[in-house]
Amino acid sequence: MVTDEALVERTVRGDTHAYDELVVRWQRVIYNLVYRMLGKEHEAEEVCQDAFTAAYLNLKNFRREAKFSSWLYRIAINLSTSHLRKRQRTAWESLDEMREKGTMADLEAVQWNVGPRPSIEDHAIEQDRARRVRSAMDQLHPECRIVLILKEYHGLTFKEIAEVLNVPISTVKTRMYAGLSEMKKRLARDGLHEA
Amino acid sequence: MNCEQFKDKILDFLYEEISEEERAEAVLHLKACSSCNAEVNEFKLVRGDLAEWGDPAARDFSITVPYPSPLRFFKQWLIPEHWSMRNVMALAIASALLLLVAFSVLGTEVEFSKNGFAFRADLLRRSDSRRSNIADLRPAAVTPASLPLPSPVSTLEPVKSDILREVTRMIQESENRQEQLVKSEEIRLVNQLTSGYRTQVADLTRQFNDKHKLDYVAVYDNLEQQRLADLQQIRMAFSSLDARTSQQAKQTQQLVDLIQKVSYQPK
Ligand SMILES: [Zn+2]
Repeated sequence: MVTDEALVERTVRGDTHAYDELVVRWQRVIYNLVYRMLGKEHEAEEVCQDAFTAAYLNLKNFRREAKFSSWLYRIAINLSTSHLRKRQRTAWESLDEMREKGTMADLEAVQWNVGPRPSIEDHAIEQDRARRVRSAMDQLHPECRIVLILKEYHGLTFKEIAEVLNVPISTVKTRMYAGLSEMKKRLARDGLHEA
Repeated sequence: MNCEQFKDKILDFLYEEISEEERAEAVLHLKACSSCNAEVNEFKLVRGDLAEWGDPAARDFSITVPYPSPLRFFKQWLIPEHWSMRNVMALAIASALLLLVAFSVLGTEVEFSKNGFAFRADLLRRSDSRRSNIADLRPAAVTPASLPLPSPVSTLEPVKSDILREVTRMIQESENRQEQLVKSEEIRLVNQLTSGYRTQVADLTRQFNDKHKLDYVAVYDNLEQQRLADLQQIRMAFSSLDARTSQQAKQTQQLVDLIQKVSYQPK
């Protein structure tokens, strides 16, 4: 099979079919990653689209010594993070607005919007255990959450995660440990498994 | 391996990113240490829970990549990346000017016709200028041997001369007609003025008949001077109009000349 990096080389030389091939290879993977970060299908699709566009437009900045997938992961994660921040900001703005209006009754609804929770129609019949894992994950700090996602759902090594996030391996492991410990507490409190 | 050393390696152990000998040491420690063993088991449970959250249901959506048009690839190939559009424009203008100068030095002629266009360049200027104008309508003497390309010029030349002659005649005619129009308008106005004064003079004559003759003469002289001045004004106005008209005609002629040089439409 042609390597991703060879396809990148061909894309840079003007072969758009090569980039189409890269999209086919990575679309589902990147979507899953972004979806687990954002929790909403249409937003995940949007960010996924943006990630492939950004990657294409910046392909000449891609350092050849890195893996294309790591680089693509990083772009998708950065876009997801800024999307989350935007969502947070919007939520706080509407919270302020509500405070000004003096209607605090809808506060619960606003908080519901902050986290990447699924809309009801998205996951009406999601399994109970999966739903609890998911809501516990949502409450993790995004820095820990992304490490857990990359490790558990994408099978990246700690070294690869460090490369994607551009942080030392020790930092990755610290976040991983914190994330797992937090999940342990949350899932126990949630009654998923009694210790 | 003690507890502290194990805690350093717990994630590597859990995710099997550990060397064979370190793994053996870790297993050995877990057999001896219940607290480390408990932590590993809790993490394994958490991992089991995390696995419950499967991949999201596959929903097909298409990614649209903003590929450049083939033209942009050509542009990228043609124009260095760091060049601004301004540089490109400057270069384009400079090269166009250079070509113009080169063409004029070489005595290049470009002829357009519905069959395409012909192009010729003389390295040395020929003594008989091939350029035709309205004043000089002789057909250009084309020597086919000197043409680098088979050219329609030789067959077009007589037709072209005919057209030029026709256009010249039309311009001349229009000019004459305009001149006549101006003249007749002038005559009409002068007549109007004259008859106006005549009426006034007749009125005055009637008025002054019974009074002193001297007064009458003085007033009449005054009126006559006014009439001449008015006449002078009209003449001047018409002569400047005349000049403008012929200037316009000349400009039209030059324009036709110019158009004739670059384009050709058979009758
Ligand atoms: Zn221990």
